[in-house]
Amino acid sequence: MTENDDPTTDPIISVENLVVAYDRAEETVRAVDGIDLQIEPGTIVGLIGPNGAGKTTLLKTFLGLVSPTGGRVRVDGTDVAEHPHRAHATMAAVLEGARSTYWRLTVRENLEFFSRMNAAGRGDERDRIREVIDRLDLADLSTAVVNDLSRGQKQRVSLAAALVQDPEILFLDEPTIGLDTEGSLELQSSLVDLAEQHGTTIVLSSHDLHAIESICDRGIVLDDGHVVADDSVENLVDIFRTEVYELVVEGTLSSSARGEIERAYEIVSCTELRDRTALEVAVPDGNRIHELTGAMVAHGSQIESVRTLEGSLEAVLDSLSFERSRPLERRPLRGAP
Amino acid sequence: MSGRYSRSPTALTSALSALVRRDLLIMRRYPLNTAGAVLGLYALFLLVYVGGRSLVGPSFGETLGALIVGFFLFVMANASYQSLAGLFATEAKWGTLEQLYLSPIGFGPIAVLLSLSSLLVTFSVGFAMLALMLLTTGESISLDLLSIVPIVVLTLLSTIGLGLLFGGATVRYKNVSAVFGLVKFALVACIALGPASTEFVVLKLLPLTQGSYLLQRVMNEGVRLWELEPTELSVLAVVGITYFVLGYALFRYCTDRARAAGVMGHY
Repeated sequence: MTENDDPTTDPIISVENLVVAYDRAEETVRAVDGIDLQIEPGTIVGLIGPNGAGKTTLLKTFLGLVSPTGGRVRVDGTDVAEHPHRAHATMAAVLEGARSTYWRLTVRENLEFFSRMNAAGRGDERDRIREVIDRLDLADLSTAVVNDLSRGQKQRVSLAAALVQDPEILFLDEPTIGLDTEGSLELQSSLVDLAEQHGTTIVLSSHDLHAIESICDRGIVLDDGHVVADDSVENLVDIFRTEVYELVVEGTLSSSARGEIERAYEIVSCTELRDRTALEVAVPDGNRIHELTGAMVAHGSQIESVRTLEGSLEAVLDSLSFERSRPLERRPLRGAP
Repeated sequence: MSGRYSRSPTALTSALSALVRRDLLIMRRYPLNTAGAVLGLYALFLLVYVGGRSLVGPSFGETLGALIVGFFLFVMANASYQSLAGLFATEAKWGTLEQLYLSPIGFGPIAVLLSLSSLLVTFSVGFAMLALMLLTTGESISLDLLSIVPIVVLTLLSTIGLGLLFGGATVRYKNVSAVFGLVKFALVACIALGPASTEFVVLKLLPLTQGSYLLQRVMNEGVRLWELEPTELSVLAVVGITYFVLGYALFRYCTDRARAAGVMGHY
């Protein structure tokens, strides 16, 4: 998607055997558990996963807001835990969505504040602020007090406050949360433009899989503190496009047929309709669909139709939630370390 | 990248001016809150002034300068120790604490700049209020600022150190405001113990006490800064710097603990 996808480029973010553990009540929680990854400059990377997967902790570790228990994070060659302020010279973040700015100040006052706090001496401040205001279409709102703006407008101001710091890397935590469709699309467009026109590296965590699918070059799927998949978004979707099937059988599914399927496959969903049953089944190898249908017929099921489901990141996560419920049978995914 | 990293005087001055401007703008946008704070300060000063005049009589005018400096020492000491903890709690609620942490200047220097900004704003508000007070009463005072300002600055280093300690504790342990009331009384006691520190030298190690003692001498006895004993000034400087350094170190320790516990920015 971006112009800087050269795989030989030195990584701008490098994570080595990262572990983040917290002491909670009577147990130690490993929010991040042995992650290794590298992120190339100019790419847009999405962190995906269910709640508690470790996305926000990983993001905050990139920023130095959380200290690693083990391993290290390097940003542009600087160890973030050891020299956070040096690393901060290259980065900006929008972590609290609409809440990342001072609501009692105007848009322009916020931009001036964050520019003077974080980017003194980086070119002409007025030019930088004017450029960001134009880029995010905030000209008409520049004298408005942030408190009076809509949530989507506040989100844009938060993004502007980050961009006015002229970062090489931008981190966003749930950037589209609470936005309507139009607001979300505007934000996505701004982020793509930032990566394409300015070569900014963008790392975002989100539950908004449509947004990640639309703008990210790469998806890193986290579950239980581990990376369970790490590939281009296209490839991630491809993996599951050929592996999740919808089968419609006449009447209800017999318990023996269901038991046979569950022994070898994962039933993603099972919906009983008036005179037939629709099953979504994850098949680890596309060639085994014939074994599956053969087994169902052998157990008395009359199959009306079989079709592959269109791939989406939602299917990836649906399947992963089944994987999590059966940890001993975790299937290795392409790109996973 | 190293060219982007900066703790240069320009970067620090730019950040301090941004913080002062932000504080003044927020004061303007919360007019009732600001008016309440200024009027509260005014009422307290008026109470001390009227009370002192009725108790002491016409000779009260001779000690007016000392009263004013003592009063401002208390107000600014109170602001310097309390503001940082309150600010961090407020910034965390606003969702902006993490943004301050992300400044390339570093979180420790930012905390010191926040204290300075708060002191400057408190001083300017207090000074405006004082002018109003003098206009109201028709009194006039003469202050030896060359002697007073260095002593006040060194004295406030100790309470800025306490502010850093409470600020760090707020970042790590969240709500610590319950101890503020106790500390306020303790600070009043430290100021009041100034004269007694000549007899019990160990009292000079308390925050504010040595500063209070030296200010009394400057204000009441008309002693100039360069006429004070070097030992007394050294004690003032060493005590102030020690509290500041300890406060800064504990602030760093608390923020490191907050990062390790994953609670930086939470409230």
